[in-house]
Amino acid sequence: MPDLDILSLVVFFPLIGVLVLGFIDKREELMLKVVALIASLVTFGLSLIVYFRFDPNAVGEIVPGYQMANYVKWIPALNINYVVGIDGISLYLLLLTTFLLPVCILGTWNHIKKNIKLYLQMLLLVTVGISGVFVSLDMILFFFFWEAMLIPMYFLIGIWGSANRIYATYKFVIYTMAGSALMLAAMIFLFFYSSASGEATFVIPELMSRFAIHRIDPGIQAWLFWGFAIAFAIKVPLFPFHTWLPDAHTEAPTAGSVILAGVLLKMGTYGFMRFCLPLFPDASHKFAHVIAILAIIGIIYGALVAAVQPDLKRLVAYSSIAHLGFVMLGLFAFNQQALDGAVLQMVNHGLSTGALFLLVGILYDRRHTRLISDFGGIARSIPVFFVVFLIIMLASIGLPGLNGFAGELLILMGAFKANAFFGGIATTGVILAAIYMLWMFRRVFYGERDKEENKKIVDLRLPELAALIPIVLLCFWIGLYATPFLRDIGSGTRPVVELLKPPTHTVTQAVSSAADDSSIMADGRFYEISDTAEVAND
Amino acid sequence: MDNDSLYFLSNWANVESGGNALLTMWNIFKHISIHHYLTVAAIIFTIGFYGVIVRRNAISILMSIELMLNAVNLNFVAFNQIWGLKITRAAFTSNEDVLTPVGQIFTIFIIIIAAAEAAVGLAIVIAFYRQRHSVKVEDADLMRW
Amino acid sequence: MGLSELAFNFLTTVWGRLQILWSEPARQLTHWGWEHQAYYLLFPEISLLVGVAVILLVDVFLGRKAFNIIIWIAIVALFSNFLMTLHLMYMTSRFFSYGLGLWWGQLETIDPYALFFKQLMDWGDILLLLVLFRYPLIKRFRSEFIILILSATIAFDLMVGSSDLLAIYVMTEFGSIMLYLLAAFHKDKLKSLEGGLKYFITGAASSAAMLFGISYIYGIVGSTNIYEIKIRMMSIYPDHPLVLFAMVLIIVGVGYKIGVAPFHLWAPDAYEGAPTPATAFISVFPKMAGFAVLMRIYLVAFAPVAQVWLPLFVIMAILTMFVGNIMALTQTSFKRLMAYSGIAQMGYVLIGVICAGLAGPNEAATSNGFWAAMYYLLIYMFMNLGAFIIGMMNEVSGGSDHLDTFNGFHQRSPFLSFFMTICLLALTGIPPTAGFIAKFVIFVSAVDYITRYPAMFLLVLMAIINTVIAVYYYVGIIKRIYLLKPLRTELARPFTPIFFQRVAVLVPALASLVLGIFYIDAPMNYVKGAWFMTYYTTIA
Repeated sequence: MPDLDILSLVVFFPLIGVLVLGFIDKREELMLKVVALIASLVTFGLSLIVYFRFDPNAVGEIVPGYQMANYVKWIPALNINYVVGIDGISLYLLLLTTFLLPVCILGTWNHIKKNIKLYLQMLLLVTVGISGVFVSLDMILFFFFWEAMLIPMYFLIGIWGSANRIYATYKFVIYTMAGSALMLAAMIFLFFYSSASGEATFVIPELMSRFAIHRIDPGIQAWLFWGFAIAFAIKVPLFPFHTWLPDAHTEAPTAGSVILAGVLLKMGTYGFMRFCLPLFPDASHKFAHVIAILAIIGIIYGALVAAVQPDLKRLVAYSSIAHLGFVMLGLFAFNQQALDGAVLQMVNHGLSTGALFLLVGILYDRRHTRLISDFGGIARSIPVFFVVFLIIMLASIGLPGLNGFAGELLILMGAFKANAFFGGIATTGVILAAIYMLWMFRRVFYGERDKEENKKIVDLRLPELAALIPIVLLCFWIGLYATPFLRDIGSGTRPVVELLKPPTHTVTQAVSSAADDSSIMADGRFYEISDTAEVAND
Repeated sequence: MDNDSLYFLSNWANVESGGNALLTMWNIFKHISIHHYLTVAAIIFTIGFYGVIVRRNAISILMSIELMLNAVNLNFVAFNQIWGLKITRAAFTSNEDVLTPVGQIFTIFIIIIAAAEAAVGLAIVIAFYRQRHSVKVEDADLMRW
Repeated sequence: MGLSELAFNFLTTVWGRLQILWSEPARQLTHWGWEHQAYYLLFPEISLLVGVAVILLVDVFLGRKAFNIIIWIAIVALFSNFLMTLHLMYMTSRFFSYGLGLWWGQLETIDPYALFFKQLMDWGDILLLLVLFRYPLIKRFRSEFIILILSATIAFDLMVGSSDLLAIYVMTEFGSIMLYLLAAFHKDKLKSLEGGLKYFITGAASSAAMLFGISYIYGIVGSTNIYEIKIRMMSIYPDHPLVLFAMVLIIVGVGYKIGVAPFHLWAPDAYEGAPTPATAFISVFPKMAGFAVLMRIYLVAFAPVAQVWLPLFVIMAILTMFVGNIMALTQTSFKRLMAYSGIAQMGYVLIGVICAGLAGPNEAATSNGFWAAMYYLLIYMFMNLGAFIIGMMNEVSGGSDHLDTFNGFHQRSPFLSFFMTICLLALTGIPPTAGFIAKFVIFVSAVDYITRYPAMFLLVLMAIINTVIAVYYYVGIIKRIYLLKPLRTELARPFTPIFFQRVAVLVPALASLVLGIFYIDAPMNYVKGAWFMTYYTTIA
């Protein structure tokens, strides 16, 4: 029996919760909820241990570059190993996952009426899958969790969703499967390709270090890049693959939406960061424009469609597409600032959009409607709710001082450096976000309180408040003092930026092109200088 | 058909055999090669296959299948003519001629199994007839696609 | 060292000691002649034959009421078969490097490859029999049902070990005749008879075609022994049209048995008509035996002329996957759906066979393709049998095999629903089930050849597309089980399976779950080694 490492404990602890829940009678609802809450809180506590033990300057012992790693043989016949480890990129995503689990359980404390036992079990299971994705360093282990997560999510949407749930959950599963099957083939191809420089392996850091020296042939890189990119683009979702998202988000129960928006979409962007950028740098550079254009289309399109949605939840869902567009733009700007911003923005989006879904879910629980036109002037009925919603909404828009601003600013600065034109267009997305959010806010909270039901809405209950207060605090913390976060994240993104630099023999060419502001995307060295030596030097 | 056999067929009571009918037949048969057997077998097999495809009556189809099997038998017996002697690995090491009538053994097995198969097939056809009052395969139309 | 490993080591050690104790008297017994040891090697099949004879006697003397006793006799026969194959496995691994060689005029071989399939069939048969304790078969003929199943198992046992085209033909026919009878078992139901009739006509015609092909192979190389053919095939002219013709004809015969497109047309009708236990039997065992034979014929005997048959197999694999999956989308009967899905599953196994063929005779023994196909069949048996057994209980409690009876199945039986979900997820190929690992190894074997043969990319792409299509209908059943409401109120009445049925559900379902997470290596290493020995068997 191998030593139990802290990361595996974090990932698999909810399974103990699932088992314990299995032995409790179906009718003891309070007991079930308390047990699930304890399990989720312990998981979060364990992940906090990970957080405090994380050292941005550490080298990593078992797996270079990754901390708290574990390396166990799993299927020696195929050289598949159980490899887990954490770096600056995955640290906060793991924390976010374990953090949102108790938030989900608390936030929807009284919302679920049927089969609460299975519901809580599925919630815990889906967390196992998602946190597994963030810590696994073996491609097949990654795929294992990536797919295993589908099953509980399928049930979460399908059983406890709203009217059109079966269609939505089907669409979600088939979209994801379609992408991931292609990814699996690409992974296997990479496995055999790695045998050219040593024993064939599925371990990601090993592959990264090998392919940094023996570059993959650019033609093959392009194929592999798209093999992975389509799977991740579906998950993100990038513009033409986004159609599953509004359905799934809208039909899912509140907790499902929170997890979907909060962490599940991050699996896509995380995948880009973990596979596409470091393993296929040439292809990434080659297709950077394609992805960036799709991301910008996503930003504008998401914002415009969100503006005309009559349904609150659908509005938030479309706003997700816009926000994730920013993240993608940041990723494909290839510089330190933008990558840091992208990771930070993943966390921010998880917090603010997750909270928005929770708030909309609470509103739905009170009024059994999500149509904006059914509300109006409810600010006076539910003042606490109003304040929380206001803060979260402003964070989502990106108001300075709140978390959304920090991420978006970094991304936009990085994008401007990479390509001023793309950066300029993307900036309009921020304005559009303010427009649709504030317009929705006005229609929901201000104006005539003409409907009888709106006067009798119950304000936030204690468990819901307990779930939302930490999010609000985190929003302020990240917005006002992001340095510690950026330090940790930077330790993870720096190697990626390093790998994205073009090969040394093109240095002269890159330096010469650095003079031209609009086409310096290919140059990594330039940004490193500007990062360390302050912008004032320019 | 090669020229030799055409020659013999066109001269039924020719000079070579001196008008003796038996001798004439022998003169013809000794020129029949394996190709003739194979051709006949292939023709019979094709007829059987055609029967399986176009016949509507289950019994006729059974008969056609028998025809196919008989074509196979013919093939095996014909091939045994060339491979029957001295072919196994043992034959290379021993001084004696080793007979391996594989084709003939195969044929006997096919005949036995064909009988068993026909019995089971006819049983199914009869049971079907009792229920459906027909042995036509197009009446087996309860399930499609 | 963990507890599980300790326990595993302990058990294997104890088993090894037992085997040595056991093998000594066996050798003493057979000391008086090498020739007579042949019967010792036949003990697994003889035990089944004895089982059949005893059942016949019990049937005559105890009357029709002794059905439970008859099932127990069958289980004991199968279990002794299992133990003896296990013993032979041990013998092959300990005393002989390349299996126990060829026997009975070189018609049969005892090698780990054959023993692997024999064991699988034992397990599957025992599971099926456990369900029969409470399954409404026709009262008058139910002991015949058991006899047919046992006889078919004897046939398949000998079929997987055949090393001669004669034995292959005889055993295939023996098994097929049993299957025709199983398919037409409900002789008062027109549907059953119709399925049986179609199965019989197509099957008989296809085996005649196969024989025609075999006769040409005999004519070309002058032998019907697999290993002899392999040697002689190396020195023939492969582009002769007769070679291609013979191979096509043999594919027709074997393809019918394993139900690959375009020879699949009997499958849905025979499946739907047959009584469900018979359907479960037909859906697994002939396919396994057929594939064992197919791989022995094509990957041993015809390996030197792989370029002739590979294109045919590629077309067949693509066609099989598409036909199976697309036809399955619109089915309303559970058995019919499983028939088409089973066809599609065989397409994946064919990909493994193709990869093995691509390896060529020099690398053939170490290629991933063979053991990937064998491993897939192992997992396929568990997951398909599990799904069928649960489907059988749904049919018993729901009154029909229509997919609508699955609606709200979890209200009727949460236990069965849970394990049905596992089996269906395994069939889909979603982790953490063994189905994923099985599909994964197939993909591994196929992707290995992409750089060398770009056409393999097409095949991989087709397989990927089909994996996604299959999600639709497999998950569709899960949707019915958990997300939809029961059609009628009586379909929500709780149904509790008896103990033996629970066992029959638990074993395959847990196997298809656990083999996806733990103990993945052991069967893989076994099938790898098994194939190596089979390939290098030589005639003494």
